[in-house]
Amino acid sequence: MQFTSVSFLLFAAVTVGLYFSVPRKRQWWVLLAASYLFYFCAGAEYLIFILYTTCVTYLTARLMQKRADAEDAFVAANRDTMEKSERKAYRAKEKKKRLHILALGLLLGFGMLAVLKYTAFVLTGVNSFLSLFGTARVTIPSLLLPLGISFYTFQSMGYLIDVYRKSVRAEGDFFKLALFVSFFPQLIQGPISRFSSLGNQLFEPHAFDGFSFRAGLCRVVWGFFKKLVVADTAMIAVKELTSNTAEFTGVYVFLLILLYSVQIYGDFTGGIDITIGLSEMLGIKLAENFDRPFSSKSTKEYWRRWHMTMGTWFTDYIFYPLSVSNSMQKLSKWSRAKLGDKVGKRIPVYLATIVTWFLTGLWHGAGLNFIVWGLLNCLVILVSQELQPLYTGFHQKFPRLTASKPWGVWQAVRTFLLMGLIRSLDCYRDVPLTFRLWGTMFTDFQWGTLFCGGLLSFGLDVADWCVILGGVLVIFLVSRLGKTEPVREKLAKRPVLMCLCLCALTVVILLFGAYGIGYDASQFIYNQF
Amino acid sequence: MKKRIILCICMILVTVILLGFIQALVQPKYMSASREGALIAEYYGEETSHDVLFVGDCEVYESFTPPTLWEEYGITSYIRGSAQQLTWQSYYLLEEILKYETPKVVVFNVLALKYGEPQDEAYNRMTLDGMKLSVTKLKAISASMTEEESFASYLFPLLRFHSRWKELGKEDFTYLFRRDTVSHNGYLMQTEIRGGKAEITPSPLVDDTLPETSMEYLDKMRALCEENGIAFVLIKAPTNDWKYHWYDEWDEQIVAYAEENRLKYYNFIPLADEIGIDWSTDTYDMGVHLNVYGAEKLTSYFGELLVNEFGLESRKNDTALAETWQKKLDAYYAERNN
Amino acid sequence: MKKLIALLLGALMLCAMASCDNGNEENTGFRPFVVGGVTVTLDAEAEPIIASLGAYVAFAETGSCYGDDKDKVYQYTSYKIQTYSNEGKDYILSVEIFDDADTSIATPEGICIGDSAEDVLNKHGTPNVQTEQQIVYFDYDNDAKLQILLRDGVVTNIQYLKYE
Repeated sequence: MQFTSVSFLLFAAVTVGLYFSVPRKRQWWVLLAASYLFYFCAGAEYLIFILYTTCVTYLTARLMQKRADAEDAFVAANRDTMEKSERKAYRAKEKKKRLHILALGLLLGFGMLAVLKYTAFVLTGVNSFLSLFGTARVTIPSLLLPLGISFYTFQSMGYLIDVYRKSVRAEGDFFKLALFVSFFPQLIQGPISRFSSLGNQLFEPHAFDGFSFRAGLCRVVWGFFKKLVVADTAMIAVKELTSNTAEFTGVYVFLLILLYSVQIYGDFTGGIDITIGLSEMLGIKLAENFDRPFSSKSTKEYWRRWHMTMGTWFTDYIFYPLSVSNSMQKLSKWSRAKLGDKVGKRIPVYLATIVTWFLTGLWHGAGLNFIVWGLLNCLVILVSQELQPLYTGFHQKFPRLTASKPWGVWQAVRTFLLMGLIRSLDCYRDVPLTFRLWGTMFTDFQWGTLFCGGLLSFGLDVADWCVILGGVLVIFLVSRLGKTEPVREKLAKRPVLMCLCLCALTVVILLFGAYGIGYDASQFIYNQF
Repeated sequence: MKKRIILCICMILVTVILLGFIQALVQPKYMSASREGALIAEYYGEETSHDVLFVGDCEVYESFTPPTLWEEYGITSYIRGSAQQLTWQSYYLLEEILKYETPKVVVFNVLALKYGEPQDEAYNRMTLDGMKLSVTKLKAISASMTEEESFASYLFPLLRFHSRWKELGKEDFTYLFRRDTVSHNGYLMQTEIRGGKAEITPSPLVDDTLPETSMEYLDKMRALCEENGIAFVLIKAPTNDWKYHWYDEWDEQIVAYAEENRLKYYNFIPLADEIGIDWSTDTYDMGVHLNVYGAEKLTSYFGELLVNEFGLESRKNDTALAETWQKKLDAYYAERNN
Repeated sequence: MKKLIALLLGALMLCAMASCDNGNEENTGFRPFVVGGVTVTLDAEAEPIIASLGAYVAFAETGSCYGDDKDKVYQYTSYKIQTYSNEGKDYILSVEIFDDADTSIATPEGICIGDSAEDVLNKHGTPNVQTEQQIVYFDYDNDAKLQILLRDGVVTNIQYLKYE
């Protein structure tokens, strides 16, 4: 069931209706049933995998919790007889045991993801390695990739780590945990939620709240506008530009970067708007995933504002633990001793950053292009970190210039283009080809061809261009207007104006949306991850 | 508070009306191009009942001319056919017809029996969009949809045709709320002559059995006619074509079915000479369909069968009816001789 | 604990097995039909091919029930070629060998009308579909198929065509 299908709209309407009509204590049952029905519609065979992840998460979390409780009880009971050092040693021993359980849980959880998502990729690599020696090839099995598996696996594994760290208590009710893993609005494209913030909200009773219902509804409709009108119209061009790379070089690569940025922004933020909006209608507040990312002035800032829940996941569960791990500490000591303080202290940080970005790339997809994409992002971040003194010097020398508005705009545009450039790896899906095409932008730009019919040569007619540009303008204006308070919240306070806006937006979506026969049915891009 | 709610309801109403208006605007009008698409809806404009009703694909709406049937035999008739109209679509159209009237004879052209599955979205649209909303229509939609289609888009055609906002033309505004009549009681006139006999060998069939689904619907049509005391007649229009070839293996099955159910079946292909069809002048597309000259010859021939075999009588004595049909004849000849 | 590990590992294996997709059909592209030195590739532009094939025995142009699409068919001794039109240009839709009047007309592998089903399997290899009525080879990359019709184990018709 696609978010953009009529059946999803009906499904969501019935779910919301039921949710507010059953006794409040039972509301979460409605959500669980709806979530499993939603996932069942995507493919009955996928249910095995989500149930597997839920069972693994439930059992290992419970096991860790049991040990942790026993540990606390033991310490409490023997508070008087145990020395502080003994207590510490006992706790360390127990922590190690819990770590083993955690490791098992992570192995089983990520193991499934790794097998399903990366087998073909690894075996292709093995085959090309074997072909160097002319040895027999390994047959690559064709595996199912269950919808949203990357998202729910990451969310579940994050929860396991939280239980291990004792920052949350393991959920004792299997069905409640099942709901946390499978909550349908966020099941297939995030945001990746934390149990500490989402858990209770899911299970608590919620009275109908007119304000959040209205604000949520506005957000859902806004999401549809971004996805159907803007992203899917831009997609027509992106498809054409990437499928005929022999013809579309130079200036067309530049156009692709712009159009793909528009597409992925509309697609991903639109999808998240539908997710968060729908949850808000139910009284559940999900974590935000975007904070006007295209106004970021540096790559680092961009990654704090784009796909935020994934970024914080990697920071909290990969980057930090890796940075403070024993082996990293040892490496740090060793490198400082051998290479001096200045270089030595950078080594562990660099290593942790590279590993984190490598994994971020890999998470996005089993392909060399995604890995290169991740590492390029990492490179940009590290280089700008190294050049920081230079920037500071520049800022000190030209304080008036660097504090001015145009300078800020220039920084945002620069970041936007740089991120767009790297992101194009994601749509060409072929690393050498992408590099070659980047090259043509510098050697054979030929911007003149655009005005000799070029702009209309890749599937967009004048009307489509008007829709895209108009849509982008509207999104920009709404984003500006919502700087202090989101526009939907402003509107929710004025129901009549809200009603007018919703009606107008509905007409615009139905008329100008790129959906139905004549347009290729398009999945949300992030459903694939 | 109350005022606000009323205001909101008003706005929603205005939006619904606006969407209805936009929907009417973007729906194809089928007035100058693909006129076949306008056929199904025209039936609802009929004010008098009919002795004979034809159902089927292009081989009915290009092969019989109701004005001729009236002029020569005083028989009233209507053709409920559309492009590549599938057997189940014919069945549901017949079911719908019976809500309005009970003809004496129903004639079905058998070519469409070769299709056992939904075929083409564009043809589906031309058949189904013209039907008035009813349970019958809903059943027809769910039987006909190809995989790419959605049910909702039949209830709200805006969902299907919204992208036409880019190509709106004068026709879309002229025919926003009205349509011209394109047919003569369901007959779509073709006056062009493009004769010739194509000596192309037809490709052999892989499976020569007619599909079960279409045969089932044929039987449902038969049963429906039987229940209502209507004579059900099977025909195969005369054609001279390799592409939509009527295979002997199929013919044998229809002959057997007709015998088993004591139905009349007329295969007009071998009777073309007897009917007087001249393939050099009576077709507009090298034998795939008849033009008006061929259709008139076939209608004359078939009218005689209707009189002799089914005992249909002339209704020319009914002056009110005669007046209505005179107007139809005038319109028919105006187009034919233009 | 050990039991639990064994249980969970077992579940992992089961899931991994369940995830195997059976729709893994082997792709068998086939060599295009060649006649009198002219290669007739499906989807190729028709004009130069028809021009080099010389005079045809029969020709027909067929519209559909509505619309302006025109399919054309050119019949030669023992084979015929059908084309479809797209934006004013014609492209090859199918090639069909229908009799053995000209015994030189055969597939590049050497199968002609009258050969046995065994000959087909020997020369063309393992088919994607085989029944008493037909042997079919698919070229999934190009949405094309080679369909060989049989009657009593003997080839009666050979078609290269596009499928939807």
